[in-house]
Amino acid sequence: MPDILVARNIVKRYDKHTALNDVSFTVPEGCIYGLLGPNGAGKTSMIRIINQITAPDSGEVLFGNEKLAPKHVEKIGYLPEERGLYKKMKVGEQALYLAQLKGMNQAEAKQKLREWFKKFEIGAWWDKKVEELSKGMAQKVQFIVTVLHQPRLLILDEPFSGFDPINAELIKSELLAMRKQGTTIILSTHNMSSVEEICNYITLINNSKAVLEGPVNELRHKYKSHVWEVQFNGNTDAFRSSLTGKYELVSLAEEASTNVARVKIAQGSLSNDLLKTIIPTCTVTGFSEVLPSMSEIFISAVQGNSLTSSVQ
Amino acid sequence: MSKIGLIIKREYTTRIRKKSFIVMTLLAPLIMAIIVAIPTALDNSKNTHRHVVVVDATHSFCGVLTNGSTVNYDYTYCNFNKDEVRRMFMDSSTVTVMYIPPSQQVSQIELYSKVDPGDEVISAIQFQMNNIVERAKMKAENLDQSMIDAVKTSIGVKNVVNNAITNTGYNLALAFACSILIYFFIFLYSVQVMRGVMEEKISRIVEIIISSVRPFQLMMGKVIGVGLIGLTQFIAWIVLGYFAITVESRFAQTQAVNPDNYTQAQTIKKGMPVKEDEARNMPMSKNAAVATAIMSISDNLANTNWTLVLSCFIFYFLGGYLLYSSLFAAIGSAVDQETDTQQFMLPVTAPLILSYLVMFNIVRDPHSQMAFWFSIFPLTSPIAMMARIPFGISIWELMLSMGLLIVSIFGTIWLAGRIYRVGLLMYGKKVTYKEIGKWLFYK
Repeated sequence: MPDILVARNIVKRYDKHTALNDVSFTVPEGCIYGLLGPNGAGKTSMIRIINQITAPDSGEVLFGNEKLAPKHVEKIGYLPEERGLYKKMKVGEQALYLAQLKGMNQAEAKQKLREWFKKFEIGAWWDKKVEELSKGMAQKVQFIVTVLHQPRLLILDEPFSGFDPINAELIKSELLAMRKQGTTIILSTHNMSSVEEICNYITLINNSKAVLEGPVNELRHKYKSHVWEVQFNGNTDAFRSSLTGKYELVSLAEEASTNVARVKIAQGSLSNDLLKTIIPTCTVTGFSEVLPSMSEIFISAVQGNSLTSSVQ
Repeated sequence: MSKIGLIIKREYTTRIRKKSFIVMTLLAPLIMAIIVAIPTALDNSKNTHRHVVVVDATHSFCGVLTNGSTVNYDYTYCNFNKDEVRRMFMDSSTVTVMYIPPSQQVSQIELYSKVDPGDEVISAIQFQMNNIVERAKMKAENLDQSMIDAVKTSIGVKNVVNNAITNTGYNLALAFACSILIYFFIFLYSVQVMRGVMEEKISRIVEIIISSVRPFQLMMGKVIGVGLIGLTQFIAWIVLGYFAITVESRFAQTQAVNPDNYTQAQTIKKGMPVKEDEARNMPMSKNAAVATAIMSISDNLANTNWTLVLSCFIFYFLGGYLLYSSLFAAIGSAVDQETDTQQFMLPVTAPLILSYLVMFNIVRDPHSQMAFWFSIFPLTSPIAMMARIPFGISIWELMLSMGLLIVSIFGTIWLAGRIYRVGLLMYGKKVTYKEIGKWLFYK
């Protein structure tokens, strides 16, 4: 897969504060790319640079294989974190205006808008003023305006904040559909469950630096701590006493008439050996490896803890 | 359409459809016309007409006072007793009893009414009485009427500038009007630009827009769009004003045909200043004054070099507007709320207000040192220069002033643009001058 966006050694300083310190990452085309990090880490600064709202002090951004230039604006759709609309302007007129600013012609924009308005069941709002809409309604309009010109790259800053669960689900399914059609999506978020759910790649920015980068699955495997979850029926004491040497019982609990245990195995040993050890003591009903959640990876990376302790 | 074109179009169409714009455009000239017309119209309504019953204890004024537009004299009761007559008309609200007490030389009269007859009536009575008594005194001193007339002096001034008869008073009025109009235009529309910028920033639509267009395009689109609105309003006012003046002067001409007013108007129109004390005594009605003013305006309108005045007006309006509105746009971008604009508005508006104040001196002495420097300095020249142009100005001064204005427009727009692009995305903290200074150097 070719890379749609490459950021190389981006540095951005404001006065005495360094917002981005030598940040590099690569976004492959056609994926959903998560830009993660705590507040103030520099995510929004990075996103603004990609959108050419601000320029980096040094470093470069490539779009496709070209240096990022004003003409690329029309190929990018951007939904900022703090977003609004003209309050006194009518919804349809406003959406048309914003679409034209993205380079669409009026007729095409009008037709596409009608389709989207129908799809989102907001056709009746066309002639309403934005101030008459609720916040959730306005967000639907903003989302439509962002994706209307069918950008190659969609950038969403905290897209799920402020949406009610129904709208958030609607947006999520739209994003997945767009990825299927080949749109690349960069989203910055705190919402780690949505990252696991929809992101293929992530970069974690902390204290102005990119501290983690890679495919979500790889990262989870890379940071796994060889803990396995065993569900079994049978005597817990026998189970407990069978675990010696290279096996360490992390937790054991009874859940809904089955026992659930977490066992850490020493590096180099195989999960099969663990199974062999415990099978004589109980009936195994489930066996799976525990991968760290993105949220655990996020927290430990940000706090600088070792992953092992946070998983346990 | 180019992106900046789209922005201009949006600014223009949303503003021109606003009710406030339409109301303002239509109503402003109407209000002006009404303000001018009201005194004239009220004068004509003769509301102040009064019956004055004369009770003359000196027996020398009966039949001497003549009826005028405001007063009708009734001599039937000339020889009656004052108190008796007073009692008779005690309940009438349209009658005033005038009592002339017995005296060799009348120096005081008494008026009795149920309702105050008002200044107009009292002045008319006073004026007639003064004349009669004065004439009687002169006669007593054996002064001949022809002698009195011969002494009266009135010096007329024919002011010839560059072989053209010039009415300085009229030029002064024109200079005033032009520079005041420019002052208000610049203020009104620059503040609109600032409000517009703040609206975009506060509603948070700005980040969506500047991901599609450069902040500079957004700023210039707004400045130009609002400027065009100003121009539209100005042109609409000229057209409406033209109608207003036409209607007004026709109205005034019918007034002037009234023989009393007409003679007075003609006399004044000939450019013969009236001696001060005579002017005070002359029973010149306001009708005549208005008629005179309007007649002389229409005469002078023809003499003015309208091409020069109008083209300069539009140049300085647009120039001053571009200069100030870009600064106001920068202010709007730097703040989060209306109240924070104050600290930045003051230094920006100071030259504007200063030039407005100085303008009152400039129109009186349009070629002074001060007038020169204020009309050259770009932040004050739009107003100061417009105050000088009706009096005639040398071409090099005009070129220098215009050139400097153009250069500084570019400089200011560049400066404002640098502040604007950073300010737009700054939320939640009160900015200082120092900080704005740093923004200029952000990449």
